[in-house]
Amino acid sequence: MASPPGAGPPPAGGPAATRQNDPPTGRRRAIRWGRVVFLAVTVWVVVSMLVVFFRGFTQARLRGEAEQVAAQYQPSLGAGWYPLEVDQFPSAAGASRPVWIGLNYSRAAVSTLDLRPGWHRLSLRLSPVSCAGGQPPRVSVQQGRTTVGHLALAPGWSWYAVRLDGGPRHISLHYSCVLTQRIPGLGLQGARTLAVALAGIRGTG
Amino acid sequence: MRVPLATGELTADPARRTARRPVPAPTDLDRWILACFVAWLIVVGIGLFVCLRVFAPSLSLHQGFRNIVVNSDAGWLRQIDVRGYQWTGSTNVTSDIAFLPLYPLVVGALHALGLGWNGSAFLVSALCQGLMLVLLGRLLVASQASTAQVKWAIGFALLYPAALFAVTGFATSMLGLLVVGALLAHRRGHVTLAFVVAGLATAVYYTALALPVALVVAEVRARGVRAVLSPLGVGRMLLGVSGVVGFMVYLGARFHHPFASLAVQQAWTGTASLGTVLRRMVTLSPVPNGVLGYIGQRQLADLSHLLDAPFLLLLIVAAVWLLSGRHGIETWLLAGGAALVLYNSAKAGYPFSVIRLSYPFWLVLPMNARFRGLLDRLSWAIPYLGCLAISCFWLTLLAQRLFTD
Repeated sequence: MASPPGAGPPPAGGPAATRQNDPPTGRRRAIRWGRVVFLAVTVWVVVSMLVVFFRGFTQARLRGEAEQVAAQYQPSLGAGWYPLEVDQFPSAAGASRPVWIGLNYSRAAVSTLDLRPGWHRLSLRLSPVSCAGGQPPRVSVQQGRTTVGHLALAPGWSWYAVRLDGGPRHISLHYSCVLTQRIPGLGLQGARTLAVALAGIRGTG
Repeated sequence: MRVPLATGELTADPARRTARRPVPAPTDLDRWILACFVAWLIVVGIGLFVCLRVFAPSLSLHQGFRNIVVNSDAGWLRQIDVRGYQWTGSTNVTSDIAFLPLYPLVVGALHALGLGWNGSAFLVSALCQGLMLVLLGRLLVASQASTAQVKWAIGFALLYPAALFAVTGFATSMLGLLVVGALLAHRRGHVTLAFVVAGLATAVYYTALALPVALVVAEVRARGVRAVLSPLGVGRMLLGVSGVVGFMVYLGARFHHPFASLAVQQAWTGTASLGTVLRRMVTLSPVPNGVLGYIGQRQLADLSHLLDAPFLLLLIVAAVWLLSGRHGIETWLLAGGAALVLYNSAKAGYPFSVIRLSYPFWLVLPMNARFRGLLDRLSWAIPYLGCLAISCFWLTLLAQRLFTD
């Protein structure tokens, strides 16, 4: 005699088999679809982020290398400089891609440098910020109170050298003109005063 | 210590309206939360004092704490109170019209009573945070969270890095208060009040626009589209965005440009086209860009963006995970908030103030039963220690008046 539904022993498969025989409810379907959507979105998120990361990694590495190069001369900077930043500039003629340069913008009409012992010749890699009225920007280099050089800056990045005397180890750069530039930035309300960008310091004996 | 919860006073079902009653007396839970908050204020005060002595020894104590209160964006809010909204007409130059008016209005009102601006701002932020924590406790109790879950959630709300803005002139804690207040009002069946509070929230931060959206979705799911499109429903929706709409009316009258505040945001977040922003949103590129930015330049701002990146990723993952299961208004709030925070970040190209802007959306997640279940299964140690580490780092930044996010 056949048992009435639900009155007999549980099927061989146990409770799991009972669940398989149950008609799927709307809630269960929704949860399964939810899992599918969540998994699909997770896969999409992981893949797209990895693609963006690896596509940008080379540029980030080049930018990091530029910062490392610029970090080497940071101890020589005195007063009158903004913190190190890494910007992208057009490279020399013939190259196809812009290059990353680590630089410090001057902060006021005068900036200072601290020389290392034994330096008799100082080379600076500078780029001018254009003066109002198109005047050619000039930099007067003073060692202590003695003027050791006058630099007429050309557009773009160039190395400029001055010969030092055996005097104080303190150099000041006096700019013929400064540019007041408003910088939209995070919480930065004021403008900043710029004259040159410095991207390298070399000293030789 | 076991904290008794006054669950009997609250209903978990929004359909069961509770009768209007006077403001409930403080419960043991409220007192426990306020004690935790006072202890937090003392610990943060000592932490800031030590950081000021170590990192800014040249400043007097008064100067140091003043700098902490008006750190970063707080300077803009102070400027609004001191000289009123000013705009040159350029959308490429940062301007105080980018900041919404409710927080400066409230601080300004207190300031007008004779208290200094810095003290007023600190008082408003700290009071908002304390009240927000009490309401959060009540909200989670009403959502049937267990004692342990409520305590963990309150602890998380205090350890989360953006909680530190409760001692600054930022509007973060005010936004948290209004978000939690609106959800609690909605939970208790005071729908119109919930929309009114949401309207106030939209006069604090643009990310608060997620709140009226979540309320509307909750109303549609509970009562259907017709109820929402009825005169009462439309009126409530207008109330829900009244803060930001009111500010736009003011901008239109004052500067003849109702959308000037939105337009000037590009001075912070850049001028990327809508197509670029959408592409960045779909690929979540701000998250890897936060990491790449720090690889490219290890400056303080890049470190802040790097710290923001995992929070942005978690925000998106949490929204998708909760949307894929049983959920309520907290999930729609999280989803809307995540979309706005992601939009901001995609516009800027990096994770943009994610930790701060997403604070209210994290706070209310324990309303979700699925989320609470996850919290019972997983250890709280990792989020607690991670948030504690960032909070300690932020303390040093605040003392040095450096960039926090």
